[in-house]
Amino acid sequence: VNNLRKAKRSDHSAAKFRSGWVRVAFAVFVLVMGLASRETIAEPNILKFGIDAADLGTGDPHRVASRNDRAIADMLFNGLLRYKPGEAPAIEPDLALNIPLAKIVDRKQVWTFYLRQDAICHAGPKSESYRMTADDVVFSLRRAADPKRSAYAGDYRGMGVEQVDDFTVNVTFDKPLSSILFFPKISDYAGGFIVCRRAVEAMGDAAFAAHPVGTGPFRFAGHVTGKSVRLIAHEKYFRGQPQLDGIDVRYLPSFKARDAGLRNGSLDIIFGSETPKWFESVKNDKTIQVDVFGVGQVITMHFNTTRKPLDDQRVRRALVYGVDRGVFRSLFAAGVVENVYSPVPVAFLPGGLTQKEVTRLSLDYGYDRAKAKALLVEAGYGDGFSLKLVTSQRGHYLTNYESLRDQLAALKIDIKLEVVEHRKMHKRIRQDENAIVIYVAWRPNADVFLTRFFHSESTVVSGASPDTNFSHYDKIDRLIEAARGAHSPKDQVRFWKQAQVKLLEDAAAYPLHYVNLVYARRRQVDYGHNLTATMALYPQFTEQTRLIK
Amino acid sequence: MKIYGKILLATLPLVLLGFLVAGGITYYLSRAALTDIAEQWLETRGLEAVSLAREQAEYLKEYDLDTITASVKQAQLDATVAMSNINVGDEGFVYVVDGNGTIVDHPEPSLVNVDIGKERWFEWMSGKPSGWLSYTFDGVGYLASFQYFKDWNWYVVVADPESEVYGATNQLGGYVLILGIVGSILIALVLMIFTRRVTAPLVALVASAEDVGRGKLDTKIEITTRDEIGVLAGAFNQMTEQLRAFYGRLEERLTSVVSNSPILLFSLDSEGRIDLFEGKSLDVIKLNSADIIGRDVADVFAEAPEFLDAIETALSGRTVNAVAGLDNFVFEIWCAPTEKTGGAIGVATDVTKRIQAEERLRKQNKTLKGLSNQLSKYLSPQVYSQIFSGEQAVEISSKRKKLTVFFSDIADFTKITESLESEELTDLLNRHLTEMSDIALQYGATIDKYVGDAIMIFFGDPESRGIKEDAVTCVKMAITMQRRMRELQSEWLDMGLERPFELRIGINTGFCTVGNFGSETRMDYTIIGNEVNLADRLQENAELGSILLAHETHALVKDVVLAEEREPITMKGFARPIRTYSVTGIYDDLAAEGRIIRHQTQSAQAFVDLGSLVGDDREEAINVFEEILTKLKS
Repeated sequence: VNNLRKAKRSDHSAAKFRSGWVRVAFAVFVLVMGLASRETIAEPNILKFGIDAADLGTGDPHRVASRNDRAIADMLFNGLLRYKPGEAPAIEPDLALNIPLAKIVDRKQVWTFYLRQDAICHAGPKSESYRMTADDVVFSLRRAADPKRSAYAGDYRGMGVEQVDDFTVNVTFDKPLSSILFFPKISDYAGGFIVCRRAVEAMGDAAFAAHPVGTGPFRFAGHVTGKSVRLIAHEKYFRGQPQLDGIDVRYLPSFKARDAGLRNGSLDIIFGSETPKWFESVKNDKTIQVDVFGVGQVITMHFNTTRKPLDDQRVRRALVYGVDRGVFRSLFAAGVVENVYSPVPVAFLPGGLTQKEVTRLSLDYGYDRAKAKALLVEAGYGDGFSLKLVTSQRGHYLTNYESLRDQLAALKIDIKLEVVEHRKMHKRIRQDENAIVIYVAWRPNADVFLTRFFHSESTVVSGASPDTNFSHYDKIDRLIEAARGAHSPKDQVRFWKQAQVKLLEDAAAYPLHYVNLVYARRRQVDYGHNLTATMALYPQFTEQTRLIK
Repeated sequence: MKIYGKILLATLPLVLLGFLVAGGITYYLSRAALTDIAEQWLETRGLEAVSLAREQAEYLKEYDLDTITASVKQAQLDATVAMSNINVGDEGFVYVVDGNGTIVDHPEPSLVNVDIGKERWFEWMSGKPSGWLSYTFDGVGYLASFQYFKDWNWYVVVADPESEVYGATNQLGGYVLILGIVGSILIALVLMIFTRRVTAPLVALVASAEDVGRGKLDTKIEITTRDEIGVLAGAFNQMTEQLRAFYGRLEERLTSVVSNSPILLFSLDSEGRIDLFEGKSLDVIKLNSADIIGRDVADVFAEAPEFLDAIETALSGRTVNAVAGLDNFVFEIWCAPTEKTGGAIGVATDVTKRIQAEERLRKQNKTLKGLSNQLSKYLSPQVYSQIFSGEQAVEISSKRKKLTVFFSDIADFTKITESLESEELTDLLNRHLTEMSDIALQYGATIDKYVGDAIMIFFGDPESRGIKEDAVTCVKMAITMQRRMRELQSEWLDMGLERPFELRIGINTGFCTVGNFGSETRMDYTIIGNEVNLADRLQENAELGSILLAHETHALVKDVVLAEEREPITMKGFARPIRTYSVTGIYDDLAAEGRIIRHQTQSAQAFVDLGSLVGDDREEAINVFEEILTKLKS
């Protein structure tokens, strides 16, 4: 606007000066100024976001698994409900007009969602922009429940979705479900994202994954393989036109590159480092702000309870008494990690155990080398044993595995690490290669945490639906199921706690800590919301996010 | 104390007591009810708490966790957390103690793991499956219900401070006290106002009564109300009115009495000065009240020393009754000290006429007494005393009575005395009659009459010692008379009598008519009848100097008197001949003289007339007695 005004003012001036050289001089001036103005306009209101991935995995929200893909999905899609930006796990209505209460109709639990009528689907490569209706919601949720098209189909088993009218949807369950377990399913996370049916159907699932189409504040504008993804503002976004013109997501697995980009201004925000050294280095930079926030991914050591010598509970206990949470913690900058005492992080989710609780139950497993040694001797491993473990090159994994190796060496346990590419590590641990798996993960609720990590059906390789039960643990199936079937959140929490008590008693796994997310931004970036915890695992860019000049 | 003060004093404690009693009862009942409610309420909470524990324990079993210490601990923790959410009023709470007395869970964290095993109430509690108790811990009283949960060896206790349980009731005590005091003050004020209104007329009444007391009998109360006070005022007015009238009449009467009675009313001050001197007798003693008021009594009555003596005595403090002469008149004086003034009051009654009348009466009595003494000589003393004592009326009347009648007569008296001068005869006869009369009176006889030399006497009326005794006395009197006659015979011979007097005596006992016979102007107390005539006939048939008894009399006296049977006599008026007996003497006298031997006991009787026992009779008697003696001795 200023440039335009300047231009108009120039026109008025031109009328005043009519002499030849003046006219020439003025023309030159205008040209120069005009070029200058265009240069300013060409610097668009785009947020440049450097993330620690090599490339976009998938744009299909029902298949996204990685933290970085989740961030893209978060900006493109909505759920019926959403975690309040920056304030997870608080929930608020998103595409739905309100948070429903369950009813029982014909022996079924029914949740009725009344949809907002101003949600507009982005225009896709093969579809026009159109108003989202109940049809899209039903399509999406059924798609999320379809194992062929969704990575989260298991979460939606037993859920029925019916269109009541254009803007009303009923979600039904034969077995009633508590709100704790239900709301995450239809929130803006994993299978809860609502896709635009016409776009999906016009493009097909594969093409949709390459060019996702949703109703979010930003729409997919382009993808440069191995380099970047461009998102631009969705003008018809129902919460208002975003203040940013767009977001440039740049794939920079090298932390150095990201750090340099942030420092030289070519990046506005990056996925940071958890090392104390880096924290120290940016501490005095006035242009950079480091954000440490939740939700914290939980780092847990899983012991394969079927593989010798870890099939002996005494050995497993020796391992947990032999390591010190404090040592692991010292690998991270202050405030980045916090100890956890149960697989479900009580700081973020109902159903976890506090330090006080586990201490009272003598399940805190404080560092005690003598006890560890004694247990090993008792189990017949006084002279130790050897293990070969695969690890990712990524900081969370490598540093923890290395620390584990170093700490257990004192117990004459010899661990050989094989550092592999992150994806390969994931693949190999799922092939049951590691007797001890250190896993960093976030799950939306206690049920998902426990089911995917400790239900026998989730046992790697041999489980009914193999997932991440690296422990081959099968002692708390009934408790997990009982919790899932409980109507009252209180009862659920009780079951979950008891399941974890049993788990800790058996030392099938050892929760170390949760890792807060560390991002760094230039100070002109204003998220437009508070930032304490997010389920999207990045600071969340919304229609309110802006760059302060 | 004023009346409303008394009313307040009487009612306020009662009102206060009423409030306190009502409050006390309310407090007691409320507390009892609250205890019941609290017990049930706490028990319900206790059962709820235990059900939470049980639920956890069952759940542990269901999921095979009951042997895992940590799982059990966690379940216990869950249970205690759930218990802590049980609402037990504002201040109550649930806590858990294990069987050893260690606090497992308590809302006050510092009490967890504290050992209360030695608390008496815990000792009382342990071993019981459930119950409720009242105990004090850390100086706070609690009401609690407990349930024993065996699976975990837990006592689940639900406790509520008594201050909360009884809070309302405890406050009630204060409220009742305040209510009582405020209520009492209000009632006191109302009572004071009301009592003042009620007592205002009473105050007027009291003032009026005091006026009346001071003699203002014209006092009248204005009646303004129709209630009891009004009625009382009306009655008071009526009373004063009647009092006024009565007082008027009294004054009138007193004036009348004082001025018409032959009395003097007087009062004196402590100095002896006359305050009052009124009465009709002032005229008698020729004094004027006005002249002597204020004067010294000693000056006025200097001529009447008895009167002054009486007044002196009264002034000295003693009540006195005296008789005093005042100006030729006699007054009876009653004079007494007056305590208040130190003076004296008195009444003097003119008794001059009464004294004179008494003197006349005394003289008449004296005359009458002399006459009476003379008269008594014409009458038997018994009759005389009976008549003069008033025991027997002097009137014509008679009665039938069994009497012993005595007749005596001097044989041939006329022939013997025809040679004597009249005066000599009179002396002789009087001497005889006097002697015989003396004996008769000595034996208590009633002398009926003298007919010339004959004497008629009877026993049994007006006084009687009994029929037998009367008869015996009469015979003994006759014997005495005969003996006296023999003693007198020598005297009479000396006086020139040619033949001594011989006395014939006849005695009979039987029913006679006794009483006053004659006319209204002349009466005789005497006896009449056949039995009287028979006695006279017996006298006529008696031998000289002897005593003849009729059979009836003999039958009465035979165990005392010895008599010989004589020829029977016939007499007009009696169907059969009358058996007669001549007296020989008194047994005791005869025995003393040795003329007879007489012995009489219950089993032995003996009688011997020594004088008449002669000849063969005597021989035969001797034989008999010898035989008796022989038998008695053997």
